[in-house]
Amino acid sequence: MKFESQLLKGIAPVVVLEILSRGQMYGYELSQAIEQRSGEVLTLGKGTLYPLLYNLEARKLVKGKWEDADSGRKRRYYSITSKGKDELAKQKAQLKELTAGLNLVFGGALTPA
Amino acid sequence: MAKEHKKIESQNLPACAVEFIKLVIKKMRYRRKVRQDVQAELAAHFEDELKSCAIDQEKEQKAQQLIAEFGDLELLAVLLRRAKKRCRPLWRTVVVRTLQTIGILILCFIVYTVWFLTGKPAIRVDYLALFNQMSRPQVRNEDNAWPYYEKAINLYIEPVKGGVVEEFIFYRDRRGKLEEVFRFTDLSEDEQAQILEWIQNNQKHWDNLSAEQQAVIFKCFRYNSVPVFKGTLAPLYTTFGSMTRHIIEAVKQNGPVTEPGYNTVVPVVTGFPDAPFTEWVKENKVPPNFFEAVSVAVLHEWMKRYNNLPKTARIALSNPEYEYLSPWIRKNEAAWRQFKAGSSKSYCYREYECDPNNEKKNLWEIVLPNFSRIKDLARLGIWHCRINLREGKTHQALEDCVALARAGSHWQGKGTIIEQLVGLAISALAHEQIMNILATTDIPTTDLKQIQQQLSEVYQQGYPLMNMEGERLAFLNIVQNVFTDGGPGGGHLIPQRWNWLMDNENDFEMWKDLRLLTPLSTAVSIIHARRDETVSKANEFYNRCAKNAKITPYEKHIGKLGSADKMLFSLPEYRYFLLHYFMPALDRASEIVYRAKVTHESTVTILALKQYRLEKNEYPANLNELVTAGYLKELPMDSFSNKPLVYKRTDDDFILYSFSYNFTDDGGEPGKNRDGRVAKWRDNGDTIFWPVQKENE
Repeated sequence: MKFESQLLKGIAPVVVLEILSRGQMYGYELSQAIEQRSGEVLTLGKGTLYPLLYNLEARKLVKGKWEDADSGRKRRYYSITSKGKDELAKQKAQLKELTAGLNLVFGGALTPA
Repeated sequence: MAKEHKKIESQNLPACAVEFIKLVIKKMRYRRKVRQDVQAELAAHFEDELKSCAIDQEKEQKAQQLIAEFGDLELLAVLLRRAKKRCRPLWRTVVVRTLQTIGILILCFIVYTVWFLTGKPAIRVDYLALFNQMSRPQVRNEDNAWPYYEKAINLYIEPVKGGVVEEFIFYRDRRGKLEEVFRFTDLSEDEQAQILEWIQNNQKHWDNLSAEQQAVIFKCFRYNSVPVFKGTLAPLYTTFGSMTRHIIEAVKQNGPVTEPGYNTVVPVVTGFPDAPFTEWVKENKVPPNFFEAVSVAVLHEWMKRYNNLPKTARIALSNPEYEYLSPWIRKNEAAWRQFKAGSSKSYCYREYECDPNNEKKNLWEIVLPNFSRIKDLARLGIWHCRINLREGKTHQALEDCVALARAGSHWQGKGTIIEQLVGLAISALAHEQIMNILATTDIPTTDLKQIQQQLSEVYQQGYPLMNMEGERLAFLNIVQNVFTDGGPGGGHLIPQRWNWLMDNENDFEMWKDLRLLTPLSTAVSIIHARRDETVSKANEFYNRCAKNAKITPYEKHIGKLGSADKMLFSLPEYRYFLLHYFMPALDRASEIVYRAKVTHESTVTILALKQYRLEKNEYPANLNELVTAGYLKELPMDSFSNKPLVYKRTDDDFILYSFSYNFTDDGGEPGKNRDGRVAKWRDNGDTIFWPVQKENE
């Protein structure tokens, strides 16, 4: 099931930071990774991806750098900064609390089987 | 990097993708380098997305799909721009904001400057009409002196420019100049002998000239020019003074007397006898040894002209002065008669007019051009008086003085300051000349009485003080011409207008240079106080001046009122340069009136004392006796002490003086100037009216 909603937009920065915390990626790779790793549940619109990356870069949570890709082409690789890591940890903790809260509301219905 | 990106984009992507990326980048409207980065990144994304497509058609379809996924193109561009802007480092943001601010300020300044430069004055008040109205008296027209003065102006014949008459006038009328004249007696005895010997040896050359040739050379001398022939096709001329010095130097050094190295062209004066000399050259008739001949004539003329010239102006005219000046006086007899007739009238009123199309003219410009001729006529009157005196016509000479005193009074107490100062100057000339006559000539009682009475009647309504209203109107007229009317700040100075104003001031070249710097003059105009402020300060200044004009220098000295001039000087020049430039030192001008008043009263008193002496064989013990005996209506007051003038009887004479500018009684010790010479109205001694002081004492 694919969905893109305000809900996804709210957690998109955390998702991007989480993916990048596992290694540097360029834009296309990142969009692919989000889809694959979320079992194609989460789809970040292409029109949202790049503005989001630039905003994270402006907040110094990620860092962009032109490098040669495996294909030999130049790609702009994004990697998480230490500030990004701190932010990710904070966001994750909040999400955890949010999920716990939601679980209580929904009587554990949100917990994966 | 940018070129590389362009290659990638153009080589591998379908047209729709390229077009899409280009449009997004274009609509981003941001820095080129950033846009190139984003373009490369988007292109890479498309390339990665399409790399699995085998054929172009598939690529095209996939690209269309991706474009759709990117969503609204405009929104994407906006989001990208905003995000990239956030990436901008702080220093860049500061620079950008600063530049933006500067740009806005420059724009504002340009708009402000355009507003400034397009400002126009609004001429609402006819200050010339007000000025005329203010001076117009309520009396019969036949009492008006102006028609006579106007006729005198038209009849007046100027002395030849640079000629002997003008030279003699210059020496007499400029204080101290008579002493500077280079005379034969200034040479040592040996030098004198050398000169005389040289003349004797060369006299023959002059004698060889015909009477006609000698006459034309003498005529040339009247123009203060000397003809010189140096083998040229036309005669050259040198000035009489330089030629004299050249010959004397050559003779003193026992060298040959040759033509001077510098010459002038023909003097551009009507009547100059150039034709005969030109003819001599053309017809090869230049007399032999002409230079020696003319040098002999120059030396004779030099000795004749200056040897008996007195060293002080109050001594009677020398023979050459009389010989040269009496023909000029005779030619101007008609002009002087008219001037004298005008002076006997009770008032002088002239309706000033201005071309209605010439809105730029200021009142000073309208009024002042007439005054150079009035001054010329006053000078003519003094010389008329001197000639009369030389001819033994003392009574007529004194009447000339009274006429001048009356004429001077016609411009006192009204009009602009310059007009009033000219009136005072004419009056001062008259009074000085009367004193010179009294000091050098025995005058019968009847004449003394008559002159005293006539002089007393000049100011029947009381001595007129300095009137500031004409000056105020003239300044307000300037303000009306150079400021806008109303608007922010109550009207601003218009650069082009005050530049024009300064252009009219021939003696103020600096402003012409400033005019070329329009931006600078605009800046000056912006800094200058606005119209309301300027008018307010000007009125404050004129009001203070008007009050100060009514108090004597002594009262000012003891601190009754603050100085108006100091008030003006305390105003910053960059804010009020118009006031600084157009407002004269009016306090000082007011003091001149008091000096003239004291001089007038002292002259009347001296005339009374002289009568008393002739009738009672001695001078009175004090001035009260003069009043008691009916020789004087009231005691002469000293505006520098607020007490009567100091009078003391001496052996068979008397001394009469004012405290002058130190406001203390120095016991009749005269004030002196920087050269140590006796001078009136100094702050280091008294101003002595009698005995008449010699200039070179």
